[in-house]
Amino acid sequence: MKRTARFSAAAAVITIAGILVWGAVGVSLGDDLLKIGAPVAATGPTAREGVLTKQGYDLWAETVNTRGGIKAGGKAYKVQIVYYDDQSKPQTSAELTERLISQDRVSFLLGPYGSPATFADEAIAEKHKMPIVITEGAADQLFQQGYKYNFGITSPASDYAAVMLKLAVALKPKPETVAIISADDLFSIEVGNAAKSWADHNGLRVVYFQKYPVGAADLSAALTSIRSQRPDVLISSGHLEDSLLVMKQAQTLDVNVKFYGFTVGPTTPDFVKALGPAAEYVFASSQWSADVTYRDGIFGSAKDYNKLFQLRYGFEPDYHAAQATAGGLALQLAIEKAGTLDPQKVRDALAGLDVMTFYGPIRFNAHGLNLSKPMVTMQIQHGRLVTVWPFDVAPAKPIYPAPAWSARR
Amino acid sequence: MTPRTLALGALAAAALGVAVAFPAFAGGYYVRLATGIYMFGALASAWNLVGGYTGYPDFGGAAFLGIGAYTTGILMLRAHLPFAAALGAGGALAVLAAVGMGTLLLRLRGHYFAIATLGFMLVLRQVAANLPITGGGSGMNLPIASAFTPFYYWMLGAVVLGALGGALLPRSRAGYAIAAIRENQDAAQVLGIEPLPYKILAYASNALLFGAVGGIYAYWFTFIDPPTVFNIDFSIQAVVMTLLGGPGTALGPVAGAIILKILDTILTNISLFLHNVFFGALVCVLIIFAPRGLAEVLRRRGGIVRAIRTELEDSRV
Amino acid sequence: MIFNTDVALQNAVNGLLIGGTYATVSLGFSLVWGILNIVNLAHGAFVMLGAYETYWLFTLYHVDPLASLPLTAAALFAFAYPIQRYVINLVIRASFLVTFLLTFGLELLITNIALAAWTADIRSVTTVYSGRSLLLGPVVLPLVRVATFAVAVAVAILLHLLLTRTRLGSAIRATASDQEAARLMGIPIAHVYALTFGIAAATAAIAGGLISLSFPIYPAMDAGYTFIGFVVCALGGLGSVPGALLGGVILGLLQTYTAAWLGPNYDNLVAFAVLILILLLRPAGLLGRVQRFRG
Repeated sequence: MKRTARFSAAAAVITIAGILVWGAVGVSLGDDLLKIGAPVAATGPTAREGVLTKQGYDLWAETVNTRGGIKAGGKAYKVQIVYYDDQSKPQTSAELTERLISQDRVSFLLGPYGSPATFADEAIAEKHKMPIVITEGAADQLFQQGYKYNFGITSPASDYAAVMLKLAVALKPKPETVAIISADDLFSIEVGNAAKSWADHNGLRVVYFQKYPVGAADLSAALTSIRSQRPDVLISSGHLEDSLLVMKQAQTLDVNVKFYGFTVGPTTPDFVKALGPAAEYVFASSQWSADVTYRDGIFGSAKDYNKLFQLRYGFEPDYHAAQATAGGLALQLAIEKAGTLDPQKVRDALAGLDVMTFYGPIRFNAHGLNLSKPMVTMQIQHGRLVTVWPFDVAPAKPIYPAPAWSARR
Repeated sequence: MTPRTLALGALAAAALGVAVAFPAFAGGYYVRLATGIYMFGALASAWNLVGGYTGYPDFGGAAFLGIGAYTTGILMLRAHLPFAAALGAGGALAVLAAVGMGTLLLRLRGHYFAIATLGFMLVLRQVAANLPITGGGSGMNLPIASAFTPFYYWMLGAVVLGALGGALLPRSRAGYAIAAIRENQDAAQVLGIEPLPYKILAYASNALLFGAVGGIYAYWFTFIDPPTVFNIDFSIQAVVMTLLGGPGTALGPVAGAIILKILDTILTNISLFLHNVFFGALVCVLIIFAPRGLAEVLRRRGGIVRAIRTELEDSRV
Repeated sequence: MIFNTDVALQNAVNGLLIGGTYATVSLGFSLVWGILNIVNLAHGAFVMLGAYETYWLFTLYHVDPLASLPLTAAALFAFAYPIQRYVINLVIRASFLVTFLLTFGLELLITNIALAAWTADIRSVTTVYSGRSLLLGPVVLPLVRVATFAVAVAVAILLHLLLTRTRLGSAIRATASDQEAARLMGIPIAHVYALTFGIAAATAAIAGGLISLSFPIYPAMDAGYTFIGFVVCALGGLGSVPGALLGGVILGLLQTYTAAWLGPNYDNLVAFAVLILILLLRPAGLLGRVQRFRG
């Protein structure tokens, strides 16, 4: 009896202590503060991209606060973003979203990193009728659920491959064959399928089309098969580690392709740093680059944003950071347009938003998808990323075809 | 019926009463957290049946979780079955799979059994990733549930089932055989106990719980894909919780689940980036000072310090 | 699928060479499991540490990655020895699950401290020769992979000699087969265990160093390699050095050919089905002896 009592007492003390801690953390901090929730990965497989997202969000919050905050209903609200680490796990992300809404009492939500986590979180947001601005989830499925409270500012997954292939077919000599590999997850599969579909409809013959497990350690078999098919173009849709692995193994297995295109990877600084000269000539699709000619009244032009980010963090932003900032900006503009913090009115303001930002035009269709912003294609030239397509904003010309590995030494 | 049993029974009934009434007075976040605790409590209790009582460390329990999850999902989405029916089918299929695979895998022992069960889970993961009916690697979206509270009660039911199983099994006839198998399987065989049916019983019970939890999990989170459900994390958590709470006891796994989940949440609040470091250190410390679980530490006479010292003496080389 | 001899040949090479990497990763894991009866969930973390050490030596001090391997091995030996001696030793006679959980906690600690210290940035070691290959007719031989395979064989031979020809090796094997008798013979058990663990960590570090040349490295990379250790050991046999080589090569070939013929998304399916089959037919693995399960 004594032991059981001791045990129960210990459990009770722990529980009560825990509740007190939760309560303390959840106490709201004052009227003129606007709390926005963001469950972003700080650890786990997408930690790298999660950090970039957080940096983007922070830059927006800092900028808007130095300008006096968000103005609505005659008051100015300072922005405070409440972060929790979802460990790159969708289920954790959902729990944290629930916590942000009911415990931390945030007024709005900014999206997590990745389509799976976004999918989990938007369902929670929808249930609580809280607007969520999706910045790092581009899978088409996210916007096919009939939800009314999610708004994605990025171009959809289907654009990722199309934007590179459109450039490829404009080059001379025109490529005829393409190999497509994609990681086996929600977003990458959509991109891969869209690539195949575009190729089939535009005269490119698909000679290899396979998926590989997420986090695969070795792709030599796939690359060996690709090598034997001798495609002109290789489109690889995966995540950062995969893109590094593909290039490293393409080099060591002497896979010579004229056009290497990746949907994720080359735009992060890690890619060039890790691969060195092997990164040359690689193409990447990007939601945004510093060369686009969009501008807005808060961040200025794309180049201005680039400088601002570089000043703040010491390296140039890739599109993950830029779209995070743009998401915050879209939310801000909607609140100011609605003139109130009422979630319904802000939701309606978001639905009717039609603005130009440094990131590009933002206008949501009935499903919350932003179809008005085109993507760009970039290429690594002399160790730097430059925009090469669309031709009217590109400061550099694409280098094509990529020289064979043996010729590069 | 000793006074002690009566008192414990009353305590359990009271706790159950509070649990049933909980959603009426607690906020959404706490209800959700409690649901998560019940989920892992159920998984830990399940693992305890085959790993703690029978001595067969199963690391592929998520194979059954995945079977339950996908069966529920497919039946709800494509056959438009209501949740309860789909869940039942999921649990049944998990049990069938356990009986089938168990006849093969339970012939292995110890480490080899552990790896084989893990291999089984991974085979299922890749099968699920390549079948059109599961949605492949893109995953599957179940129909959206209209309210959350039912999930709380489903998971509560699961953990109660698990705890009941953990209480009833050792006291049943099968329980004696299972204890004999755990202590010395060869001797038990000599004594006329045919081990395989009992091992399958434990393994299938474990699978039923994992499968049921899987089905509830799928409907709760709406989106499932192969790496999320066929994930060794579930088994590892179940093992950690059971060991911390005390294997071979009915409530040990549940207590372990409560403590670990609460600790994890507190740590996450303290530090966004370092919570896993603290968690890892905590697991190390707890394991070193209570290798047979907290239940054992509490059971020993002479107070906690003396108990810990005895544990250390017993365990070091 | 049309059968193409060139492709099949290349895949044989691919499978063999990555098998060498798998073998190097698994040698230490097998040793610790077979001899100390510890499933070291932090083994992959040692591989990761070895990879990062090689990376930093190369990036900050321009030490060639292959040349720094002995340094990395020694450093991880020094790191792992006290961990076994003063931490894991405390619970070594408790059930196998207890040590399992302890190493699980260690893995969390090591990986997350690494994450906090070095961030999640993905890195790789790129030397002048890291991309080079030898073209032998239709077959492409990536030089680094060949070097890895050679190192795997060399380390395996060294380890085998250590275990069979030296006094330390005899002490280790004696302790493994009968701890009480060994203690009665005056063998310092705690020290022997710690030495074994340290040697295993050293081989893991060597594997990590070689991995940093061909693969991207990041703090969370450890789980995959620990897992490979599991599979290779089960295939080849616990505590058997030639078994680790054999198991590694078999796994590499199985994965590669499955990926080539069924598609990369099936690569583990066949490997694990074969694994289960082998465990059912030969529970100790192909070259192992049946271990008495303690605890």
